[in-house]
Amino acid sequence: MGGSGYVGPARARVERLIPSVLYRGVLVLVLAFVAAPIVVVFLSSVNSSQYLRFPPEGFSTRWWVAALSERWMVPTWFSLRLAAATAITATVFGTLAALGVHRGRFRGREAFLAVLLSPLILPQIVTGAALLQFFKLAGLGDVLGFPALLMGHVVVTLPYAVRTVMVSLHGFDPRLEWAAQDLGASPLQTFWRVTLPLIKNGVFAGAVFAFIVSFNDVPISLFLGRPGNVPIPIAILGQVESRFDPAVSAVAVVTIAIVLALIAVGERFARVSEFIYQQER
Amino acid sequence: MVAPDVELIGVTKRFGDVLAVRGVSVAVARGEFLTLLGPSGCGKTTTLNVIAGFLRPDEGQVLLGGRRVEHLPPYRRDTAMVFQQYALFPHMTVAGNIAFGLQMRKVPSSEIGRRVDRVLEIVRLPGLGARRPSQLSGGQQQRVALARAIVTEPTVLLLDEPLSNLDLKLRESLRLEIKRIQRELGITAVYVTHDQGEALVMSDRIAVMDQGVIEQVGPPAEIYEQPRTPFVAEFIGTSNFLRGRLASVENKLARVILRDGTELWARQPDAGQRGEDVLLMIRPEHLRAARGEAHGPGTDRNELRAKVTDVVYLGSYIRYAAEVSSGEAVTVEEQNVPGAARCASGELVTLEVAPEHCLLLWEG
Amino acid sequence: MRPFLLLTPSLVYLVVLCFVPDAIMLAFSVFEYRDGVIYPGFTLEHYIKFLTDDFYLNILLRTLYLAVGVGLLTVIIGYPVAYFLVRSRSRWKGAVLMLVLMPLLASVVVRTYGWLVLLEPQGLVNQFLGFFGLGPVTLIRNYTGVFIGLVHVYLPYSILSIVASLQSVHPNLELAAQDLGAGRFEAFRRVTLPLTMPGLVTGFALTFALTLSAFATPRILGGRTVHTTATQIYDQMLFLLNWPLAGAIVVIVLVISLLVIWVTGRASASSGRAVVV
Repeated sequence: MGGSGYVGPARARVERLIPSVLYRGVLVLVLAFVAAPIVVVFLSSVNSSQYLRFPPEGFSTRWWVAALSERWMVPTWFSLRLAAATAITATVFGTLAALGVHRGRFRGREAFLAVLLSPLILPQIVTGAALLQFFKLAGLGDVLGFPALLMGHVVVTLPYAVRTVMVSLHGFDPRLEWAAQDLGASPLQTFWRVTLPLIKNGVFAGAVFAFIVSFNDVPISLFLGRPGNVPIPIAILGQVESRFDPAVSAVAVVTIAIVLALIAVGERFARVSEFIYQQER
Repeated sequence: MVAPDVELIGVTKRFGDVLAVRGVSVAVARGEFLTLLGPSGCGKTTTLNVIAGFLRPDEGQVLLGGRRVEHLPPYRRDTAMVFQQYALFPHMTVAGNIAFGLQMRKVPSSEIGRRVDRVLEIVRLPGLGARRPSQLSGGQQQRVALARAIVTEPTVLLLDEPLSNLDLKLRESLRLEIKRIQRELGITAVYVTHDQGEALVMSDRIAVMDQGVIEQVGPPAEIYEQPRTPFVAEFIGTSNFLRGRLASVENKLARVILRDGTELWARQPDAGQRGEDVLLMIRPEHLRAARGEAHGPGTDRNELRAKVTDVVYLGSYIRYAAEVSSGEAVTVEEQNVPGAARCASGELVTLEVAPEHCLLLWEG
Repeated sequence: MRPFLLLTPSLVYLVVLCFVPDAIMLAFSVFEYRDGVIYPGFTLEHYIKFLTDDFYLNILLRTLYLAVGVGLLTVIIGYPVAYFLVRSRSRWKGAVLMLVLMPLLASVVVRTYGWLVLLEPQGLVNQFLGFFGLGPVTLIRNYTGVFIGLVHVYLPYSILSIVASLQSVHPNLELAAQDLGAGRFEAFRRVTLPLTMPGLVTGFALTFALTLSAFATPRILGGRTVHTTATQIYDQMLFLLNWPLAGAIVVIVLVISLLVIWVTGRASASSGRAVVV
């Protein structure tokens, strides 16, 4: 190191040490902060008493028994169906749209993409509230519940599907489609035999993200459900708003497990994690 | 008379405000190897894509085997393309790539296997059918692309700079290989390249393109020896250009006076008016640098006074850069005869050139 | 023509189920509202009410404080984590990335519920404080709890923003500064930090805007006593049925969010210039 004046070796070491210790300390604290609530949920789901104590007082499965009852499994199953339907719809729409944007030579290609992604920018609570108002005004109060939730969830998950498919189209050589057509494949054959196999990771990742976003969604579901027809996050919200119940811990673990299992499957078949960085934000 | 396999009549293609191809007309006979040669952006690939059906011409006609096909999509045309960078399907094996076109044509699978094996023999890649394209070298991928295109036995083979991503050695051997396969199969080929060496070696005829227009079509020797425009002369081989004025035409020779008054005789042009500004094109290998002893010019020999500015040793020949008395720079290439006297930089010399090697051109 | 056909289903879908409803909601914000009935018209009374009435103004100001606090704290504590994720060669890096991203896989309801377990009067945090003879401290049904929960919920977004900007700063720049005599911390403060300012600013603006529209966390940790702009939108929509006022709050929240994103965007652009000069 040139330039600076001479500094004694001991002092230099301390000067180097302080920021580094500080940095590591803060890092560990922040990571503990990040992990804490999730860890606590796990622990409290198998804790014998109502309130979690340290050290833990005993092991119990009673909260799990409560969680696996009809009271919680009905909304969980409702959410699974909703998320699956959302993922399929958003992925079909989103894949077609991404292909359209990708192929488009027309001016305003960027503008179309911006329009497709715009539901991401708008706060979801606004989309949810606006949809509720829209359905009521249109005299479609009857669609509240599964149909309305599906429509709303597709609005907010469509951008994810568009984006992951756009990412996988990014390195896609359009001449592969030309080559297929040149060899006698019709546009439909070209799509099934060449385009789709090559973007399937993006399509799959889009479906996985759409599923997770739908499965975890609160702001849309808040407005569009109807009594007895609510997804699991809203059921949890309703419970914790009124009374503390450790069965919710076990339910929470179930929802996390479902998402992790889905990610594992997605990772196995389509290396979904490669799309995560492009996804968030 | 048999209709040509490919015929373009007045084809024009625009991209927005850009005119990529302007009124191109050319015909390719059965079994002929035609090369579209030109710098990047000259419209050669666009022309090829119009033939393949990837692009629709804005004006003009495209005929394949005498039939109008402008309205037909690529999958209804009997052409097969070898793409630049190959465009092999990365998710299929080599055999899968080659079989694709046959499957699309509903060829029975037993026959597909047989034909894939045979075409792999033809391109000299036997036994590699199970590999993925990514496991192959560039040259091998190139051969697979060729095999995929020819296995369906198309009438017309289209090749878009198929060798541009390979190194020089491989390029030179594959040139001959492609040519051999094309000739053996008797297939009509349209080949796009910017590499004049490729064009000269492979083609039956070359169409030189510039700015969307075909400047000249002809056999390689004609293109090289009798370029009709300065662009063609410049693009194929190296050329020296001297500006001058057409003074007279005598005994089938044209007398040209350069800016400093030097008189040169040139091959008689097809046309030309006295007093017109002209360009004299001379290939470097046709100039000979003589030290001192001038014979005196005549109608059988032209002489230019010049000063050598640089000497480059290139092994089999020597290249001189020189400035002629009219002030223009010229290049001279002479066979390197061991032991023969060489000119030195700064030396004053006489450049000799036969009138039949001086070609008259008009600036276009 | 074909690309357009591929786009049509999605565009029609979004127009009908997103843009039209949003436009109607905005339009309603200037309609008149008397005794639970909405009349078409043009009035700014809902905007004026929300921005002048003490009750509503208080909610807006408190939400803004909350949003600024959450924005600042997430970028401050997110920075070391982002730095670690980009620069470290530690074998723990993958695990840390998992840890940072994992909360994004759990519903905001679940994550916030975890804080409820921790922050309750009889929760672990108060037990811990009690061990030192402190507390109990009230950490839920007030802004403190909401603040802690929101920082946790939005921290990953800030971290990822900073990660993105750190990735664009070549580590050699920091090494060059050290080579020129700066200590490690000095090199970081004088070189890396200014160059990653855009990421910090983006992270701040993002979490700020997200806080304005956060509903679940304020509702769970704040109970019925803590109001924010988002809980107000919900209450006005579903319980008070004052759609015009809800629409006005939406417009105000959107305008403030866009303003903050625009101002911070300009600030980060000019800080980028200052670094170059």
